[in-house]
Amino acid sequence: MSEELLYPLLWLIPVAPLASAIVTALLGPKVLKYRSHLPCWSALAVSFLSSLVLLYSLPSVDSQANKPEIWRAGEDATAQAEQPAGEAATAQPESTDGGSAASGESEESRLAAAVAALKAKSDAEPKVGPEIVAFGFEWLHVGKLEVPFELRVDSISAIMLSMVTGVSLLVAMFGSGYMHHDAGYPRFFAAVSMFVFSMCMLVMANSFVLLFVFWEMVGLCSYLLIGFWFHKPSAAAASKKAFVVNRIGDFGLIMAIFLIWTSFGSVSFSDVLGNPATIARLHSVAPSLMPAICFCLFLGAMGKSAQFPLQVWLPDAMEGPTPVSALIHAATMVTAGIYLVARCTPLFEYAPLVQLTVTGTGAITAALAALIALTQTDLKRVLAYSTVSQLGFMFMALGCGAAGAELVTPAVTAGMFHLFTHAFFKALLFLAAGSVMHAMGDVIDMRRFSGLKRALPITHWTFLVGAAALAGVPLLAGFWSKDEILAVLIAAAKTSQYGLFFGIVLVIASLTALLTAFYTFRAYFMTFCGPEKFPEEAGHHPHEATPIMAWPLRILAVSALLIGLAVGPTHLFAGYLQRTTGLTPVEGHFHLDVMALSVFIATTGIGLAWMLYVAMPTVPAKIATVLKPFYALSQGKFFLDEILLVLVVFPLRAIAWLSTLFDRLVIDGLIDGVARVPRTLSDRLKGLQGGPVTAYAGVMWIGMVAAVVLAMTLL
Amino acid sequence: MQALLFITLAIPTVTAVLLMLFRSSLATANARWVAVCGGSLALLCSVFLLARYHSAGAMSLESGMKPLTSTVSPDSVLQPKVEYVHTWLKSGRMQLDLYFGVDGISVAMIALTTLLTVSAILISWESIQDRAAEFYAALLLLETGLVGVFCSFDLILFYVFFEMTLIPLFFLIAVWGGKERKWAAVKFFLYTLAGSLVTLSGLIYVVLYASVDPTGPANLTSLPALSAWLKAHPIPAQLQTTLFIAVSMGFLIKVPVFPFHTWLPLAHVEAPTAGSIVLAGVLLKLGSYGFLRICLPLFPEASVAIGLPVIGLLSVIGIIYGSLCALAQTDIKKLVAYSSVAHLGFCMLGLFALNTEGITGSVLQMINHGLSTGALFIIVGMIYERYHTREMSEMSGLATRLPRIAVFMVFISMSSIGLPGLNGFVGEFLSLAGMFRANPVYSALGTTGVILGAWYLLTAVQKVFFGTLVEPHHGDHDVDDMNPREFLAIAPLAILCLWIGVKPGPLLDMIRPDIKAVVDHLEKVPRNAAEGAPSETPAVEASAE
Repeated sequence: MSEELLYPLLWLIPVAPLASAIVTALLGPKVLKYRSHLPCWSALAVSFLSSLVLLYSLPSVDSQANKPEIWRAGEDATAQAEQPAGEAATAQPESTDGGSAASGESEESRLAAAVAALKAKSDAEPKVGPEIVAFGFEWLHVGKLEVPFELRVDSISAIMLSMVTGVSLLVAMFGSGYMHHDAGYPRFFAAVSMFVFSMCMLVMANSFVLLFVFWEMVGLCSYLLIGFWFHKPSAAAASKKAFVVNRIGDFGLIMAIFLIWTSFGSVSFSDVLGNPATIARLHSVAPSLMPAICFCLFLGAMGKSAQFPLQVWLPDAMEGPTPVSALIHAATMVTAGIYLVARCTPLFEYAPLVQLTVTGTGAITAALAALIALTQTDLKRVLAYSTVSQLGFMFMALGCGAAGAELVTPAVTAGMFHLFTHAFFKALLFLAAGSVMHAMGDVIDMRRFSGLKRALPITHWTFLVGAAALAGVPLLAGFWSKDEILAVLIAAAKTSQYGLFFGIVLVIASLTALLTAFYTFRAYFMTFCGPEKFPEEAGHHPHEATPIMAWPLRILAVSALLIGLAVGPTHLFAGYLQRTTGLTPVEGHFHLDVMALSVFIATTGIGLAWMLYVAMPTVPAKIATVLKPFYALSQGKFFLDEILLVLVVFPLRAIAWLSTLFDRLVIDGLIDGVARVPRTLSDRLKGLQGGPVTAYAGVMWIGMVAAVVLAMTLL
Repeated sequence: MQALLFITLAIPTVTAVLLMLFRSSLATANARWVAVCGGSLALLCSVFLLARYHSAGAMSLESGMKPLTSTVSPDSVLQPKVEYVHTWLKSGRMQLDLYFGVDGISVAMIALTTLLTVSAILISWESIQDRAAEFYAALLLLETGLVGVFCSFDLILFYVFFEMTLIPLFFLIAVWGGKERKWAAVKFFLYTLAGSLVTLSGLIYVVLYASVDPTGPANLTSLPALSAWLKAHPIPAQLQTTLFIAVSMGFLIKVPVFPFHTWLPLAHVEAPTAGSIVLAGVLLKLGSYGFLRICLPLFPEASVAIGLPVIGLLSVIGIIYGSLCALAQTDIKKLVAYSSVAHLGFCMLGLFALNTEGITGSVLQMINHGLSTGALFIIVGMIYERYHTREMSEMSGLATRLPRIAVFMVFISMSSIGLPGLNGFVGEFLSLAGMFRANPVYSALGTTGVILGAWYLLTAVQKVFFGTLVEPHHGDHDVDDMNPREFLAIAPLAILCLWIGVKPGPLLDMIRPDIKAVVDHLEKVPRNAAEGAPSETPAVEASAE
């Protein structure tokens, strides 16, 4: 598709859901009522199709030709808008020879060139992947701060966009069945549309500030949807917690933006990330700058992507309707942190210590969450902790660039690939759990039902596919991406500099993968196998998902089965992603050793779960009594919430209470004290004028004596 | 356009006088209609003024039409346009002018004042039954005073209007307030009066200082003339610092900056809803407006030497301390009052960043805080009117009973905690960004207020509107959701919140030249501290070429 046609398409992606949100919010309660899903469906379908077209046509966009124009646009945004597309077309011939020559080169020489380019990064010409930039309007322009409302799509955002819109469309379809006859039906679809708009804008934003705007907007949508059933006190508390904890991360992001702005003089991605030379120069002038920026960025990512110790909000967020958990708290919003760190790779390359922090935090989070997931009995909570754990996996991968420049691109690729596959199978698992919940009359405690295999056949097989994909069963989605992560960790562990660190992380990652397979299948066996048992809320005949719920499940299950195979070993995903500015294309490998390892891990985990929950169902209880303290620790979620409460919330509340006391007694007391001075003085002086003539005479006498003495001493 | 300005100033005054004249013969029902007509007319005029001002600015840029010009010398830091000068007293070197005028900042502040006054009248519709005519007269006189401050460019005129606002608000609190109203009114009045007397003495000294110099300006009390003269003949540093502190006193108390804030929660809690709206929405801004109009132009060196480090620090403390105090409140009105302390901390933080981003953010924050806190007080007022309590522990889950109010509460809270896309973000972000250039540590500390802000306000939302429905005891009558009159009072504020957040451009364009003049002036002051200004490093420029 020609470039001129891509611009309207670019705008269509966010604008369609926005329009749907507005229409549904205004007309929903009175006019649309239980037809409120229609605007949402159509808008998401439009966005999804546009994203696919964009995904397909982006590689052919010649950004070498229009790149200088875009940079000039950063200087003067209006010039970019005026710049006719024809001009870009005329500039094309000059650079096409460069592009075709590159593609004609053999694999080896390209790799060699890439490595050479990496080594000579500081004085290399900026490497530019295909990208489209569309200027909207001047949003904020004050002094030296310039934030145009500008969209930018490059490879990484095109992938994110297709994933986000695709999953949202399926979730919206499922949601119309799931939320069927809920009083807040229009509100649900208005918020979901708003969320998709914000999420699309988040990945399309062309500056750190605009990204932050939509970073917060997705947070708002999350707040509104977690608290969807606001009459439930737990939901109300969870939504507030999510927002406030996220704000802690946002603090870091704001600081990062300020640091970037003051050092680079710009907040636009094109200016900041597209210029390796500038980054290198700034780094040589102020060596602590990049680590500071990256640490602040990572703090932001920790909040949104629920990394230790800010992970506390995500499990509570399950108070929201299950489709929301699938969409926002598993597939899309929570991965924004990964996206941010991956996007800022050119900065992180100069901050190896922060990269190690990223990996370390990811490892701690992944292990901790997996250990907690072992003993949870709430199906959605198991999935929530597994999301936290998988996000940890992605961060583990992202930090591997610390081990060497040649690992940067594989590390980002692995993290992003896992993000991509995870979105499908985790959304699938949540929706299937939602289907269980729907059938069980909103009961989600796995102890209260079992053997649902026969009653819910579609839910059963789709859940099984999702669980297998999460556990890393060969050929399924999770298998390929987890392999990539393990492979990159092994490569990092082999390097000399941080070999030991990455070695430890590798061990943690393997054990966590084992735990993952175990707890996922524990949940599967507890729910679908064993004797058939329904809670009384379910009524006599639990009903299987209606077609509108079943089809999204089927589609997602097929995706979870095939998507990894389609884009993993074929190197399609990696090849596409690596054309993002800041990454260097590298050759894909098959890591047979890693595959063997992960097959072993998956089968061990699943086998263990089968032994404990199918073959010998009495054993888990015995293990629980034997390992009581550990069991309690895991079931109590390591008491992280309580620790947070004692260490942060209570002290702050106490300080707050002391502040008001201080305000009333000390500050206000002082003010009132000062105000009382005139009255006190007047009370004292008043006494002198009471009218006793003798006293007056006495004072007069003293005065006269004093005057005489004074006069004599002076003379 | 001068005529429009005068009409805006005259309508509330005339309406107030009419109300007072016919107070005995006017029933409550009629008095409020008279008031709302007067208020709306003033609003209409100020909107016309705003539109004319804005389009004149835009046209001069595009079509080369004659722009709005100022008669004052180009040296002046203040460039009022649409001026009206009338000398009414002349004696020796002393000359007193009625010097009215507006620039971009004042035009916006005037529109905010008239808008909030109409909202305040609408929200008092049912709740004020006793002496309604007097009530509305006081409210409209307050409006006159506020509009007067924003359009006077003569020191004496400024001061007269500045103090004039105290009297109607004193009566609003003392007559129509809560239980402790007398004490609150007296404290408010005396405290702010004491502060502004110190300010007055400082201003008198400045005028005398100019008058003894033979080269002094012809009109000693004209703010533009004075600022132009002081630009050429700066006051010695030592004296400037003393004068800065003296003149600041009244403004610091008015804003209020920590630790001068204790009158505010008391006044808010005791004031009737309308009083709180105007007090928080506009009256507090007289302080920051005073800093912007008087302290920064007249005492630039002292602003850099004292303002940035000291007032900056006090603002940071105000943000954190105000937020913490808000967190501990159980009375929702007191919570909003303390949140004002925090929000005005952002406003002052931006102002004393003394750069374009900061001051722009500060001016936006003045407007934004007026809109969002005004709206919050409206909501608190609506709840109080229905349940006669403001204790958060006595109610919960009101969203079930009052869904429309709940929607507005969530919306306005989001605006207040600075959610991007709404107005609060733009002001806060710019203020913090500006301060980051001037002093990154203050900025980082101030940013923690963003976390605390979300905490206390969302806690309030959660307690009052979410959870299981618990209603405080209220008679046998049914409690209704927001009615059209209340909707009319709050909806314009909400729309403006959204509009400024999504498209701040027009507003920014309007205030840009005025802020540029101040910043240009301030930037001439040598600063010894190493500044973290956005680098115009060769690197960035080279890459852009």
